[in-house]
Amino acid sequence: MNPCGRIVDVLRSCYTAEMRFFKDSPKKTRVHWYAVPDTAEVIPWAHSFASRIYERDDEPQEAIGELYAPTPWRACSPPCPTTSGGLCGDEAAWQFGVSVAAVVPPPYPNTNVPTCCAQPLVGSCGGMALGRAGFGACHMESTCDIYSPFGAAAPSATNVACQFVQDLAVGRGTAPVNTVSWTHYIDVAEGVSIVDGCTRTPSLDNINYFDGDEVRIPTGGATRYVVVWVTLCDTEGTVVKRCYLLRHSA
Amino acid sequence: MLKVVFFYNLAESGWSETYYAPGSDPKLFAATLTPRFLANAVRFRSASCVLKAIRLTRVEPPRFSFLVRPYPPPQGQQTAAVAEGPDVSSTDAVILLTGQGSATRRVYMRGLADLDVRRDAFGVDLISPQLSQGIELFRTGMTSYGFTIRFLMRPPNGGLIWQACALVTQSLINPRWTKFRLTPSVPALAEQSKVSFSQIPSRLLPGWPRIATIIRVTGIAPDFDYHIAYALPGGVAVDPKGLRLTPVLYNHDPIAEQQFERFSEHKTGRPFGTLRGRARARTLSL
Repeated sequence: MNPCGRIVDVLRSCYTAEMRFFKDSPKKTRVHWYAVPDTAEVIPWAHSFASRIYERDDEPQEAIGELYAPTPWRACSPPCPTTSGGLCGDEAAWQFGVSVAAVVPPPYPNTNVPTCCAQPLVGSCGGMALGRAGFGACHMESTCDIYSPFGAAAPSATNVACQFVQDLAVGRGTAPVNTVSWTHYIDVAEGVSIVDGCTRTPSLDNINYFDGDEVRIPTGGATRYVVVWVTLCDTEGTVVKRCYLLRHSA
Repeated sequence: MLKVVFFYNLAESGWSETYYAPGSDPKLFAATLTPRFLANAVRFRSASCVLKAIRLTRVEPPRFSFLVRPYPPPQGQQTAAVAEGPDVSSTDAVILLTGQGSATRRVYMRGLADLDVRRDAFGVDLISPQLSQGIELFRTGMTSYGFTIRFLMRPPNGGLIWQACALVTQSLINPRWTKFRLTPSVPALAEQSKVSFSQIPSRLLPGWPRIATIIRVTGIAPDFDYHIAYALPGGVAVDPKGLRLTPVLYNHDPIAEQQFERFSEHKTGRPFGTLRGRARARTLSL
């Protein structure tokens, strides 16, 4: 079963929940509620997988559907890549659940999107769900070279695998203090050595910006970025090092 | 019975209005909702107010849901605001709905246009003819579909009003359930019956539901254990001093008429907002 980006419910905010999809097994599945365009189609049947966040105090737990387990709130960002067409499962499955023995369609290569959904855009991160269609292909797998410190004559690491994301819209910083701003970020393996140059003055809560390492994307390319901030980030269960970048020259 | 939730958005805010309607198939009932009725649900409101969606959910298990997305969404038709400046408050029309059996319910209808909200020199709220007519059209539509007022009533309980709850402990059936006993132990409660609690010791039992469903009844008469969906903090036994319950039943009364009572105004708490507190409704997938 998969809604393939169709509208399943209407809510004010998003959260992570556990759902029971199987009619013959108590196995639970964790799902993320995420925003989709207003123009998306709805599930064409009455179904058991609507949000039950407001029914917890009033109605008994149903065997199929969202469970009354803790529901950590999350941003409404869509999974990556996402799809916006098709529908997996029939009316009976959406109402009474599926069997664990049911055949699961294989996913498209390098995605979690099953082939019963429309093929997702290659390299797309679903920015259109936020109304930013102009930022469509903003996410790609790439490799980079790291120069430490910025402007070093030779790279300290080359051909480092990374997820490269255009992130200009949210990276503008907040004036007049703590003006750490960025245009992109990359996710690299936790063990990659890469540092930013930011510091703070004792007893002050401002961030003092200073150039961090230099990154060139792709490997061997001439496009230079300076590392402005590095942090660890848990993405779908994998800890990565997220490096926020400011483009230095094209 | 179906629970019918209307989701409205206005600018950056949103709210919902909940009603009940007879039926067991949400999709079948949704097919009977005419575009005229959907438009009547919003046309008496401000021009920037939209009916985002309607969710119909079965009240009885299995609680199937079906979503109606009128797209493009019908929107209000009344002049949105006067020219003096942006709103910093929201004005609701407090409407008293009365059922055929005299049940009453007050609903706060939001997203009204400023020009429809007036007060005379004596401080009496004046509902504009357009607003009055619009609300009546909406109510007439609801009546024609058999929309109801849901209310709580107490069923006969052997002459008892309250029964004290004793020995609140974690359920062994499910760690997220809690069980308790009753004193006096009769009359006994049936599974799936609803109960209303009073004098909940909030420090001992934080988040204890005000109304709950008896999920399971175990034990041997007269010492039945009643299980409800509540995860007991720490999983230890609690002496719930004073906690008591009474059986309740939801009942429904078809909406028969409406009456404007007053306007209810409140600050939004933030400048340039139009409605307090609630975020806009979004369409979501999983």
